[in-house]
Amino acid sequence: MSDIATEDFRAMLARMEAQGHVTRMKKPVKPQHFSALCTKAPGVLLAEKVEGYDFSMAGGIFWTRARTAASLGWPEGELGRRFASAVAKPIPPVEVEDAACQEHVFTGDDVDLSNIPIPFMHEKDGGPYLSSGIVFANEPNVGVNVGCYRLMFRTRREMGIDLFTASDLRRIYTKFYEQGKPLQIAVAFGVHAFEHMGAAYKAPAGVNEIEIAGGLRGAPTRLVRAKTVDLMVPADAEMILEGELLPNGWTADEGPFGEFAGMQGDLKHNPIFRLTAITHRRNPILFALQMPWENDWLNGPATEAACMRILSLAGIPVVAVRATEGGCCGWSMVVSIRKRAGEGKNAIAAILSLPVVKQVIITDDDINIYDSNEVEWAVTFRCQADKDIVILSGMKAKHVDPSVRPWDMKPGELPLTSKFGIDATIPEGIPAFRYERIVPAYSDSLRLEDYL
Amino acid sequence: MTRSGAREELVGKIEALLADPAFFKDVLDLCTDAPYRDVLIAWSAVREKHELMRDEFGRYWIPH
Repeated sequence: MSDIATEDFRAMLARMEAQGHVTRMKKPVKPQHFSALCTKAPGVLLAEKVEGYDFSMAGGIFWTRARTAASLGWPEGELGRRFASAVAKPIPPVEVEDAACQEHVFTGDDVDLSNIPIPFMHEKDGGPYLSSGIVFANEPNVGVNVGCYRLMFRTRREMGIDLFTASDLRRIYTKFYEQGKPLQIAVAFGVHAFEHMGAAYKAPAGVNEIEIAGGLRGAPTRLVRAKTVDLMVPADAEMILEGELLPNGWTADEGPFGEFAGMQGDLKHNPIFRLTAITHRRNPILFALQMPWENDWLNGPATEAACMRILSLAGIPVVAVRATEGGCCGWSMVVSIRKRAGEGKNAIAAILSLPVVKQVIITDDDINIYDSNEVEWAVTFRCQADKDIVILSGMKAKHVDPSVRPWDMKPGELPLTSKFGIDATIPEGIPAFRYERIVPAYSDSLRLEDYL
Repeated sequence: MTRSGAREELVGKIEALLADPAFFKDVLDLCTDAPYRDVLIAWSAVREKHELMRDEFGRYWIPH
């Protein structure tokens, strides 16, 4: 087992710092200033002191593909492939008795969210937000569900939670809401990249995302019993919030919040999370996940893995898959394949069937898909627009995309979108030699240094 | 002024601000001299005392 397999959040930060990825801030920072400073930092930002609080604060861990790869200890080009491999080999968690996340326990009248430096992040946000929470809930007769949800400060004991779009937690909550019952949840903050990425993965119902995290980690995630709710939580987390989602339905104002697509987002109406306990480590580090890129890069490897899996099911030899940053690490993909006749279009059809992907470019395997100029070259010279652009209409969409005009929809109506793919593979019938690249004469045998 | 007196004063300032629609950032800008924790506590008190209204831009106000 590697050292990384046994890391917790602060050990991951320490390793990233040793590798030169972390910028330390010595002077105390106000919680409402942290996000702006994060965007100006060359790496992960670690504020040693938060003004008025006994917390430190970290952000920007997953801001780029490189930092995401560093947090996992994986090569950058391997994110999708390693994720797919881990999903195929889940590892169940282990239960422990004593946990660092419960070194300090606050229950009853001692529960007070104002003791946490909940940062105000974006100019038009509806309030301070905890953006890095991993929510644990039990679905009766199904099992544990884990997912990533934002929480807005409302009062000292209540937060708003965004359950507006379709999700497993929304489905579970709806069952309790319809019976007029509260749903117990626990929210973990400051967990390792493995647990974050496992939680961000859209696993089928009944698949425990913490087992996926174990697969990513290569070792079991350590869980401990929560103090006031009937749930297990990550023992090595920096902080846990425990409580229940009230059966108030979609009635409490929540948002706006800077969304994963890089836009401010709308005011929503959502359920209320009422706390029963706050537990945390000594000298806790609050992970203030920064939008949009940290949210996006947590999903990028899973989307790359999904593309590989669906192409494999379609029998298409996939060489490389890249979720682009411009497409928020999942909405726009570039894929290289070892094509046989017709498979450029087959690959487009397969990948556009993934709910999140809105556009895709398919290239041959001689194109380095991590070089945008090479991809553009392939689109320019291997594509005929009337034959090689595939448009599919009436497909599942998300409200966050303004181009689907969500404000025109009736309450409860789900948006539809059109999608497109570009087949930038060499067209059938054109021999490969027509694309032979220029090679400077004698380039293999000459060295510039010999002439300087 | 005592700490609780200062917090009550903050509540009053926020209530006065919310006579007209205001973003949460306007609340923070109004309370720049106060500790962040006191602003959260005052905001919590305002939330519990009033049913805050929201407009389509996300601004808050207290109905008259």
